[in-house]
Amino acid sequence: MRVLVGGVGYHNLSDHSVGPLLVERCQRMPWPRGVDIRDLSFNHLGFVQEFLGDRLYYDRVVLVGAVPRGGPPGQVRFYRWAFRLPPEAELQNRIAEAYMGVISLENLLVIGTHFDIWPLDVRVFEVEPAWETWGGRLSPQVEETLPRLLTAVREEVLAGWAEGWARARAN
Amino acid sequence: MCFKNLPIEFDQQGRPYLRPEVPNPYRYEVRSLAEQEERIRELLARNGYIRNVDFDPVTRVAGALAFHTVVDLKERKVLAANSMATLFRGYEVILKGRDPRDAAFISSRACGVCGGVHATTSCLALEMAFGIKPPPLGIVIRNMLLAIEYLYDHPLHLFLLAGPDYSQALVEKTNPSVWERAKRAEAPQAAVHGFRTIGEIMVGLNPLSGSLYLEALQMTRVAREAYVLIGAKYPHPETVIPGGVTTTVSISTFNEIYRRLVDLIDYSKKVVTLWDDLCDFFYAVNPLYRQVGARPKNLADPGQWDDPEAYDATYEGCATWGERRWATPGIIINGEQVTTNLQLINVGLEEFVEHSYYENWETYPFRTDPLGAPLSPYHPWNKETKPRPGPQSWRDRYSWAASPRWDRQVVEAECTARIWNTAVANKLPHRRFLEPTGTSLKMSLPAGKLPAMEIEWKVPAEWNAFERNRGRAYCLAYSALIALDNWLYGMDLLKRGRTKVHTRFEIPRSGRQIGVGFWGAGRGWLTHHAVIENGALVNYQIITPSTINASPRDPWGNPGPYEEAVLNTPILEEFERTETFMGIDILRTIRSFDPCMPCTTHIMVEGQDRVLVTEVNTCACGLDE
Repeated sequence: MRVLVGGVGYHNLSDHSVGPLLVERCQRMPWPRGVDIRDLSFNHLGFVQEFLGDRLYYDRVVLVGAVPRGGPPGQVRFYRWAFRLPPEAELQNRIAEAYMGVISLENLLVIGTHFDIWPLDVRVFEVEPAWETWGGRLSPQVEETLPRLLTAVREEVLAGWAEGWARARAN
Repeated sequence: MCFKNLPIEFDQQGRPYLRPEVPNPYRYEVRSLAEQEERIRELLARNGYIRNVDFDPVTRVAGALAFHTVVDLKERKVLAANSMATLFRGYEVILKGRDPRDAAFISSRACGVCGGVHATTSCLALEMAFGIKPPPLGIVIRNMLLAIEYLYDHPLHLFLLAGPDYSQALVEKTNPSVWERAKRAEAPQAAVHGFRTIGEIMVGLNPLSGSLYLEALQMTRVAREAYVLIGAKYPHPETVIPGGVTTTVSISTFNEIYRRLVDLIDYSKKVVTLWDDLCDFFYAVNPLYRQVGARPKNLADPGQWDDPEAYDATYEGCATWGERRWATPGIIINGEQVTTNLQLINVGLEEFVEHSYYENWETYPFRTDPLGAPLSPYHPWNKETKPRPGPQSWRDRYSWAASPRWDRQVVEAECTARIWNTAVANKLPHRRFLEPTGTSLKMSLPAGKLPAMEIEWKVPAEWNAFERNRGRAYCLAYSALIALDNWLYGMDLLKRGRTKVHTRFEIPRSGRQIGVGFWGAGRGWLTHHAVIENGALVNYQIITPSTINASPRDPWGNPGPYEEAVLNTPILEEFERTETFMGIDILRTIRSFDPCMPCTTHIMVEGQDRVLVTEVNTCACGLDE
């Protein structure tokens, strides 16, 4: 059973760094074998190429990042990725953006879907940011959310891991 | 001599001095744009076939660019054009007061594609300010990094950003008659690139699915792999610092790079022949395509890729070491090269903000350069960045880009300016693979999986959108050869035991130092001007190629390069109703410059230390709280 936990976001940009920050904290914790914790805050096409070139495989992917949607600061939204692609012209723009340095959880989801790298089970945690300021400090709202987020991510990973093993044993 | 507009003359030894007895030598009158705008407003009101056509944002460009045009759809011409950099970059403000050693790492973030060029330019500025000469192998590695960066950058532009404008998907829609001809037109260089007809090339250029689009994606990976072997990280290298680089290289590192370079050199053979065939086809179909994106042949480039032995980082020596670069510095005005002297290139530079969201500045700390040549109060060493957000007005201020000018003339930044200046100057000291002729640049591409090949870039008869793309394709081959030449140079240094890659230095804690980094980015010209006082940066000015090209009108009312090129563009698109007009000729023109607006899309919120990163585009379908 292989699970990938990926944090996505800009470093040193307060709440927008919540993805990479969560990865840092996850990396300090013990995880079962087969769980990879990675900072995916780099060229999304580069990740796709690595994924395809190195024939990476995961049963479940859990992605975390800050996405401003106008909700209350610190709000955590959780959903399973529905693999819906935007229109072709929009998709081109997302790819161009990725090549030009835009780091975005949404772009990673969309580009990964277009190049068919994702397993069927992709789970997403979005955090509503409050601050958009230079630096490593989080807003009090997002700081307060972080332990809860960490627990939720861990539960999703361990549940996926356990389900995978159960399936493997049944087969 | 080279200046026609600036009040600068030369003594018998060729040293520049300020023309005597001119009371206010750099003064100028600002020409009002009100009358012109009023005329356009009247035309718009009177004629239904004259339309505002706005591109906001211009897609498939890096960063935030909007473009406003007024198009006469009956006469098929553009009546007005305004280029708008819609975001404030602000690195000049961010860097003020910092330790100079931060500059390379922070300024690198000015771009998400080509951070390495900023890091390097920053290091060059500091090397000049502090008198640091890097060892030859450090210079060679830096040269390789920068050449390899373009092997990522140019394919990205040619196939992901500009390429789709020439794809079947677009041409069939915007110019069906051209597509019909393309399907039947044989591609003259099919033996090299493998596409039998122009139509097949256009299919290959189809975004997301075309073989050329997908191959470019793959080749950017090859370039990135080569880059990180010595840069550690892409696009923001960790190893580039003032005084050289921090990476340790060995023969095996070089071998790893070589394997990838061979693939990239082969790839460049294909790319050059493809774009040659494509450009020539469009000219043959309709000679008016030669007018798309046309501008006077006014180009500026500070050169790049330093000679490992000649470069000493001094301003005093810049005219000499500049001319020993792999890309000869130079200014071309109306097709004639007027100088290759880096000092004069620097002295002729000014930035104006009359139509930008900045205030003018009052200070004038540097009346001369370190050699005593006169400097304008509008020179980057004298410039202060004073943001002044305000409403958009075509007659007043409408862009976050300033208007850099050379000798008060509108010049263009282009990667093609590198090969152009190198070709016509004919001063290149490094001729293992490159041979300038005065009117062209011959390149010898060695055999890889494809056989060896000789190519020749010729100074174009017209300067337009197609030649910009063609030039960029040749620059891919040119950059690959410079990487290979430096690779050979580096191997030789390693064999001779000259393995030092860095020179130690100390930051002086007192006094004032100034420096300038003369370099280039994927799109051409890049300079960083730094002023350091008591160990901290007090002024830092970056002029990027897209600042030059996207510039709004200058005080004399002259349009910036994008604007001028769009104004000269005929509308060749085939459309039956005005509602279906897409503006493909305008978009081809803008994209041919490879616009790279400041990336990582940050904006300043007045009075606060806030930045915003990107906008949300999708819905979170299936969202659970």
